[in-house]
Order: sequence, then C-alpha cells, then structure tokens
Amino acid sequence: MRVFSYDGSFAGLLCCIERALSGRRLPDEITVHARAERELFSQAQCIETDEAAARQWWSFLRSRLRPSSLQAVRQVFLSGSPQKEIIIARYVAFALRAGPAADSYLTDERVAAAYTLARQVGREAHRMRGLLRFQELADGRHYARIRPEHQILPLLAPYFARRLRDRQWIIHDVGRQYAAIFDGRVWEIVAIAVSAAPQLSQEEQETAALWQRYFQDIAVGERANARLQRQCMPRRYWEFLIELPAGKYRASGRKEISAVHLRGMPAPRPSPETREERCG
Amino acid sequence: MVIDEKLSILANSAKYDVSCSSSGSRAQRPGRLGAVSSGGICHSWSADGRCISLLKILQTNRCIYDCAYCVNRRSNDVPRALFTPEELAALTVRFYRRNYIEGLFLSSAVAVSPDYTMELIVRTLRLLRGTYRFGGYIHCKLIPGAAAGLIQEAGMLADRVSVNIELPTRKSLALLAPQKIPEAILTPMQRVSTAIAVARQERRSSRRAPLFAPGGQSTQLIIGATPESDAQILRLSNWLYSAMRLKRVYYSAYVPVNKQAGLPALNAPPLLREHRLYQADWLMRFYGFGADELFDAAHQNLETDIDPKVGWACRHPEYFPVEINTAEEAALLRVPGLGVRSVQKILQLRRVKRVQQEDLLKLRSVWKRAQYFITVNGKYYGRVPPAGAQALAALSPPPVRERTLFDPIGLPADEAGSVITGEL
Repeated sequence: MRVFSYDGSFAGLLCCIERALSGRRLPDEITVHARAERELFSQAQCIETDEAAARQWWSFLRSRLRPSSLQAVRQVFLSGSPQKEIIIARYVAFALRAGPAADSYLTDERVAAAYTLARQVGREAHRMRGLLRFQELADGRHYARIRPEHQILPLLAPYFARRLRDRQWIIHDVGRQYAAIFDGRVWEIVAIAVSAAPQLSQEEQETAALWQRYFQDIAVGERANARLQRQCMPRRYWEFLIELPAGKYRASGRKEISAVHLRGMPAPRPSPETREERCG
Repeated sequence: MVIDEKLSILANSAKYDVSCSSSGSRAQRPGRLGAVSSGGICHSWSADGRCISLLKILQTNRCIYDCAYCVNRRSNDVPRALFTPEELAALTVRFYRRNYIEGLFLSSAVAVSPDYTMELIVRTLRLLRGTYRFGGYIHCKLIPGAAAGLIQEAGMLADRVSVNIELPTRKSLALLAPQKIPEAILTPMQRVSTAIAVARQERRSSRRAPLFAPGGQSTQLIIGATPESDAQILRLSNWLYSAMRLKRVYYSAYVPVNKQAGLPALNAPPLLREHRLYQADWLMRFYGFGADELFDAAHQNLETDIDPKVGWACRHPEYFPVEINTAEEAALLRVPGLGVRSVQKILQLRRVKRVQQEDLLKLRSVWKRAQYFITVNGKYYGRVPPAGAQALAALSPPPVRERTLFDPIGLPADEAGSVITGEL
C-alpha cells in the first residue's frame, strides 16, 4: 500500500498531488503526518510542503480546470472526512485527463465522490448560517459557538463580516478549537484555547428569554409535527441553540452554559458605531 | 404592558399566516447592519415543523373587522396589544444581531382605519431602514384600503410585499368576510404589480433608480374553510402568477380557530390537501404545467392518494414512455420521479455519454416511479405497461388498514413523512 503523508495544509496537499501525478501513479491513501505516525507499521512517504511549487501547481490547475471544479476542490478540502485528500487527488487526476467537460461525468465515481463531499460541506455551512447564535458579551462583542462536522469557518466568516460589520464578533469552532475573529474591519482564523465562561451582557438573558417565548408561541398547535422539525433541524445542531426545541432539556433539566472562555484574544477596541447605537 | 407579553400576544395572532420565505431579493441597501441572501435562509424550525426565517409578528391585533375565519376578529374575546414602531424596530434589531432571524415579516390587524394601520407599519419600516440602517429582509403586508402614498412608501422600504386574498371567490368572501370586497384586495395588488414592473425597468437604465419590492409580491389562500374545488383554487393561482406576476401563492390549511355557522367543523386542518396544492403549484411554476391540464370534467380535485404528477401522467399514456437519451427537456420534466434537478443532470450527462440505467440510479432520480414512464436506450423496465391504470395501481399506496395494537406496520416511513412536509 502506497501512502503519502503531508502537513495538513492546502499547499501540502497540492504538493502531494503534484508528486503523485508526476510519477503517473496515485497513492492509495493521503494522510496528515500526525495520523501516519500513529500507525505502527506505517510506510508513509513524507511529502514536504513547498509553498512556491504549490502556488505554481495551483495556477497550472487554474489554466486547465473550470472555476467550478476548483471551487469544488477547495470545498472538499474543508470536509471533515478522512478520505478527502484521496478524493481530491483522484478527482483532479480525472479532471485533468477529461478536460473542461469533466464535471459533466456526474455519475463517474471520482466526480460523484468529490461533489458529494463538496455538497455536504456546502449544506452544513448553509445550515449554520441560519442556526448559529450570537450572544452579546459584557464588553459588547458578539460570541457564537459551533461544533460542525466540517471546517466551515472560512465559509461563515466572510458571510457574517458582510452582515454584522458594525460589531466585533467571534465564531468559535469548539470541537476544533479554532475561531474566526472579526475586529470590525477584517476577519482572521486563529487557534484558540478554552477556559472559563464568557461574561454575558445584561441584555443578553432578557433577549434570549424573549426569543424562547417567541419560539414557543409561533408554532401552530394543531399542526404539531416534531418529526418534521427534527428532520429539518437535526439534533446535532441543537447544542448551542438559544431556543428549546421539544425535548432539548428533557433528560437533565436546563443545561448550564458550559465553561468556555477565549484566551489570547485581542482586547476589544471600541468601534466608532458602538457608542452611538446600542439597540434594545 | 411589558414587551414579552406583547410579543406573545402578537406572535400568537400572526402565526396562521404561512408565508415564511426570506428569498428572492438581491437588494443591496447601503445599510450598516444586515444583508439579504437571495436563496433565503431558515433560522429555526418550530414544533409544527415550519421554518422560522423572519420575525413573523403583527403590529397590532386590534381589529375593526369581523372576518369569520380569523382569530383576531373584533367579536373574539382575546387579549389585545399594539407594538409601537420604536418597540418593534428595536426588537427586530436585537433578534437580528444574534442571528435568530433573517429579518421582519410585519403584518397587522386593521386598527382604527386602514390608513392608521398602514402608517404604523410604514413608521416601523422607516425606523429600521433609516435610523438603524437595517439592510436585512423585510416582508410587509399591505392593508387593503390604505392610501396609495403609504403603499408606495412601504414598497420602497420592503423586500417583499403581500396582500392576502384569503378566500378564493367573491361568494366566499361575502359569506365569511363581508366587510372586505375583492376590489379592495385586487386594487393594491395591481398597483404593486405595476410599480414593481416600472421600478425594474428604471433600474435597467440606472442603478440609482429606487427599489420597489425587489423580492416581488405574494399572497395567501385559505384552504378548506369554503367549498371551492382545487381546480378553482389553482386557476386563481395561475391567473395570479401570469397576470399579477406574483412570486408566490401560499396555501394555508384552515385551522378552525372560531366556531360559527358557515364555517366547516373540521377535526384537523386539511394538511394533505394543502400538500397536494403545493405540489400542483410547483408543477405550474417549474414544470411547465397549465392549471387546466391537471383537471378534466371528471376530476375537479387533485387525488389525495397519489401526487398530481403521477395522476396526470397516468391519465395521459399517449405521452409515455419517453426515451431518456433523446427526449426534450420539457418532456423529461413531465416524467414522474424526475425533478428539475435530475432533469438538469440528465441533460448534462447526455452531453458526454449515453445515459444507462445505472446512471439514473446514481442521479437520485426516483427510479421506483420513473421506470413506468421512460425507456433507457429503447428498453422499458417497468413490470406493467407504461403510464396506464396498472402503473397507477403499482404507484398507489396500499389501502390503509385499521391498525391493531400488535400491528407495528403502518405507512412506509418515507411516504408518511412527505405527505405532511409540504415539501417536494
């Protein structure tokens, strides 16, 4: 079995693919260094990341593949699937061979696998654009926690930067311990350590209570359909919701806000707007 | 009255309006807070399985009208409340900043007079767009009978506007909502339709031209409170889509909130009928069907046990089977089991290869249905002749048996689900 390992970066993966294609033979598996090291008898071939070469290879791909294909590659790379690297490699190899019409081979295994993963990532990002909940902290920043299957922070950050551009906010991927931080002008994604609970603003609890009440009231009793509710809004997304879908807290009573704090985050800077407009 | 009581009263009064979408608008307002997403975004799902996208709320539930079907009618003894424009705008922004909602869906009962109510609504919208510089989605109801100037201003501030027709015929309206006249509903609808067309034309020549309801116009029909047939209802929808250029017609299964002579006593809202109407509505908007095609002299209502596309296809065996590799797009769209997306995929695949049976299985088309209406490279796979009575029988759900205590078998899970989702 032929295994490549790389550093987990997009550039690193591009180097793996370049290496594989120049040798005219795809590996059976591509994995990150850390995972390869855990394997007892791993014979993974360690591929060094060469940023410059990766950039060159990417612009070569840009000249040969459609923008939609490149978009799919980027999206698959955000997937949480351990198969994502080999799926990208097989897809790119196929697309280079098949030419611009590659994506029309929808039922080809290599194309279908890539698009299935890309769609899953896109769907989760879309869902989270609706289901993510910000809480207002005592210092005026807005803070949201998520625990997504895929690495969707790069898809969420530009979206919320367009919408909530007059506040500083943090979207915290609790599982991966990364956060997108927006300072009022630009966002960046940084690694984040977690300790104590953030202090919420005075208004926060009251607003949450209003939303919970609204959520109860807006349902039409005669049309009750808990199954449909769960189907549209799977339970794995309930953890950080403010509202209480039926049964959310049935087992243990009201869940306490778990202890989370962001260390090493830049101190809040008062933006010009925060003073003049505090709504509510 | 404190804000949470008002919120509770006015949400309860608003919830029978089924419209929920936040889609269709690409307006880029020079605001500071919020934006719209042309595909719309759902933010939550309530216990009835309906999505929550907008803060759906009434400005007030005080009403001078006494419409028989309505929970807010004057003669009902229910708690009444009124949001001031300041309260409502502030609440919307509080919810929006936390990403609870995509924007505001503001409706109202008619307090004092149509103008008075419309004025309140417009003031709320002005605060949001002006003071808060809110760029999120706003859907606002137009109050029939309100001054043209107010309606014009509402259209310029909102992404989508709507006037509810509620009852599909003049006769039903006279019976259940005697204070409303059809002209008062259709006049603003017509005006808005013209204003949207004019604004669109002007924006083609100048990007600075003012917006007018860029997300279009919608309406709602109540289903099951009056004796109209599905054919009557869908002909009206068809007219609304073609003549009034509406974006959406919503169908709302009547929930018996009031007891009164003239209203049917229903055990449960007619959800299945509502679902079938939505399916037929989709056939008209995305599949090229005309309202008249779905019915004939003998069928004035949609079948309840099968979806309207299967029903139509089995009444028209002369169109089938179609060859998947050569049929035109319009013919493929009429095949039960193929949706708009699977048809697009088939066309895309056809550009590079001949489509085989296993391709169709991979494309997530519903082979179970499609097999009775297509050939693949000349071969027909169905077990019974295409598109006839036998195919219909094969696609109909088995007759429902009485369930006994020790009989765990009911409807297949996927069918029981799709019957009630209102989704296709």
